[in-house]
Amino acid sequence: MDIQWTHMLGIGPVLTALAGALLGIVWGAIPGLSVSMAMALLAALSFNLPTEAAIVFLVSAWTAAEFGGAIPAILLNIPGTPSAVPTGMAGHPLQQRGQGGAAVTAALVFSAIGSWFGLAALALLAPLMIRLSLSFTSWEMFLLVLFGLTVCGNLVARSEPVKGWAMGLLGLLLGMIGKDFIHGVDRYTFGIAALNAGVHYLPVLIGVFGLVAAFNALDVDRPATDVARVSRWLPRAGELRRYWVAAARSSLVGAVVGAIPGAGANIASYVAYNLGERASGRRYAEGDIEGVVCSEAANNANIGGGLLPAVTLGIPGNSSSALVIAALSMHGVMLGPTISQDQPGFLGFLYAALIAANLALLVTAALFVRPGLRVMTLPAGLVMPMVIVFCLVGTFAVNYSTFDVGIMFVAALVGWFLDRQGYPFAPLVLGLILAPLADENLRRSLLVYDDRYLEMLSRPLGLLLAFAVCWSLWHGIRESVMRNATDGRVGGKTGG
Amino acid sequence: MGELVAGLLLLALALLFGGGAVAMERPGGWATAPGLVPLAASIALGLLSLAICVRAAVAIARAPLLGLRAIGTGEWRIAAGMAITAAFYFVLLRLLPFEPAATLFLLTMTGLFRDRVPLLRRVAVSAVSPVVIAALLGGIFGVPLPGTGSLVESAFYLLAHG
Repeated sequence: MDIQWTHMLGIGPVLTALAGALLGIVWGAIPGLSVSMAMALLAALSFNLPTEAAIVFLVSAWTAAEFGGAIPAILLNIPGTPSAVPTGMAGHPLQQRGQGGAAVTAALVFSAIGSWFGLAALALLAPLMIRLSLSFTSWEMFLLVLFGLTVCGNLVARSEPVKGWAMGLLGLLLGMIGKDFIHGVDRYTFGIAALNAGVHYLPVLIGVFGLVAAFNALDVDRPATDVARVSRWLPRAGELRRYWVAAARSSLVGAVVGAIPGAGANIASYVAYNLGERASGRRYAEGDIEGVVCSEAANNANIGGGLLPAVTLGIPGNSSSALVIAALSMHGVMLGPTISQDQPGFLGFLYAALIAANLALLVTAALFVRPGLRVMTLPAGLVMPMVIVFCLVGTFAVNYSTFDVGIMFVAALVGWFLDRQGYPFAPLVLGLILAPLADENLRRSLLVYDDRYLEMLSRPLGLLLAFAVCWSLWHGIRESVMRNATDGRVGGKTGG
Repeated sequence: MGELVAGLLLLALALLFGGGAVAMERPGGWATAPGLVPLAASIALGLLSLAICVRAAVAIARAPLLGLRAIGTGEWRIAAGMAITAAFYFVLLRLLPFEPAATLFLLTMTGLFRDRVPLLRRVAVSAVSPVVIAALLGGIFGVPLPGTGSLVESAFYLLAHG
C-alpha cells in the first residue's frame, strides 16, 4: 500500500473531511457523547473505507468534536465533552450577558489556531523523534512503555494512581491473550478458537467508552433546555487579536500535554485554563473570552501533540490517538519508529489530512453551527439508544463476529462496575495497545543481552528511562499517601 | 463495599492470569518465556489489588454502615437496559431483519431513560432512525448489518440490479 499526500487532492477527500467535520461537531455538541466514544465507533466503522479516506474521516471528526463540545458548554452550560468543562466555566457567563455567540466564534477561531499549532509541532518534531527513536534498543522501548503506563495512571487517576496503574496492568494482561509471537504458544485462549488471534481492542474500547456512557445516561435526569438564544455571533473588530499570547501559551501546553502518554485534551484544557488565570490575574469564571481561548486552543493543540508519540513510537499520547493507532492497524499501517521506511508517504499524507480537517472544521462550523443548535437539546433518551445501536453494529463490523459483540458486553459490564468505583479507562486503552510492544521488546532484549544484563541495565538512555519510571511511581505513591493522610485527618475531625 | 468487590475482582484476575503464566510452556527458558510479561504484570496487579482491598476493608471497618447501600432504581434501570440490549442483539436480530428489530429495541429503550420523551416522538424516531442507520452504514460505510438481513440493503440491491 502506497499512501502519498497527493491522494488528498481531489473532491473525494474534501467531501470526506467535510462529512467527518460535520459528524464531529454534531457528536461533540451532544452532551454525553465523548470524543473517545466517537473515535472508538468511527475506528470500527471506517474499517471498510479505503485507508486514506479512513484517516481523513477520523482526524476530521476528532478535530471538529474537540470544538463541538464548546458549543453547549458556552450556550447551555452543559459541556459536550469533558475537555470543554473549562470552556463552559469561562464562556457561559458571557452567554448570560448576551455575548455567547461571540464566545462560540472565539472558541472556533482559537480551536483552529490550536489545531494549526499542534500540526506544526507534529510536523517539526516527528522527523526528530523518529531519528531519536531509531536509536532506542528493545530494553529502552520496554522502559518507555512502562513509563507511559505509570505516567498515564498518575495523570488520569490523580488522587488514586493505584487505580490507574491497576487498569494499565489489566489492559496489558488482556493484550497478552492470543498466540505468542516468538514460540507460537497459545496464551489464555482456553481452547476458544476465536481467542487465538487475541482480544481485538476495538470491542473492548467500544464497550467501555460507548456502552458504559450510554448505560450511565439511563440514570441521568437532565433538565429540559430550550435552544439557546444567541444575539451576536461576531466579536467586535480586532477583539480577538488581544488573545494571541494566551492562545500561543495554551497551544504549547496542549501540544506538550498531548505528547505525554495518557494525558488527554481534558487535562490540557484545565492546565491551560489555570495557567491563563495565573498569567492574567483574572478569574475567568466571571465570564472571559480569554478563558475560552485558553481551553479551546489547548484541547485542539492536543491532537497534534497526541499524534506525535503515536506516529513516531507507536505509543499513543491520548485515548483518541490510541484509537487512530487501532484503526490504522486494521488497515495494515503500523505506526512506530519505522513508519518512514514502511510507509514513506504516510507522514506527508497525515499532515495534509490534518490541514484538510482544520479547513473543514472552519467551513462546517460557519455553515452549520447556527442552524444546528437544536441538536444540543436532544434528550439522552433519544440519543443514547441510537448510540447503543451504533456500538453493536460497529463492533460487529470489525470482524463480522458475534464473539466480538460478546466481548464488548463483558467489557461494558466490568467497565461499568469499575467506572462506578472511580477506575479510569485511559490506562486500560494504553495497556491494551502497548501489550505487544512491551512483550516483544522485553523478551527480545533479554535474548539479545543474554548473560550481559549489567550492560543492558547500564545504558545511559535506559538508566534515564528507568529513573523516570521510578520517579513516576514514587510521585504517585507520595500523592496517594498524602491524600489518604488528609482524608484521615478530615474524617477524624468530622468523626470527633 | 463496591471498592472491596472491585479489589477482589482485580485480585482474582491477577491470580487467573498469573497462574496461567506459570503453567505456560517455556521452550527457551524464562528469558523468552511467553508467560514472562504476563507473570510480571499479574504480580504487580496482584499487589496493587491487595492494597486496594486492604484500604477498602479498613474503610469499612471504620464506618461499617458506609459499606451497605440499598440498590437504587438507577441500578435496576441500568440492569434492565443491559438486558434489553443483550436481548436485541442475541434474540431479536436472530428472528427479524435489522430495521424492525432495531425499531422494537429503540421503542423499548427510549422509554427506559429518566428524561421522558413523548410517545409520539419516540415512535417517530424509533421507526425512522433504523432506516437512516441502515442506509448510512450499509450505503456509505459498506458495513454489513448484524442479524438476518436488512430491508434497506435488500431495497438498494433490488434498485441496483433490477
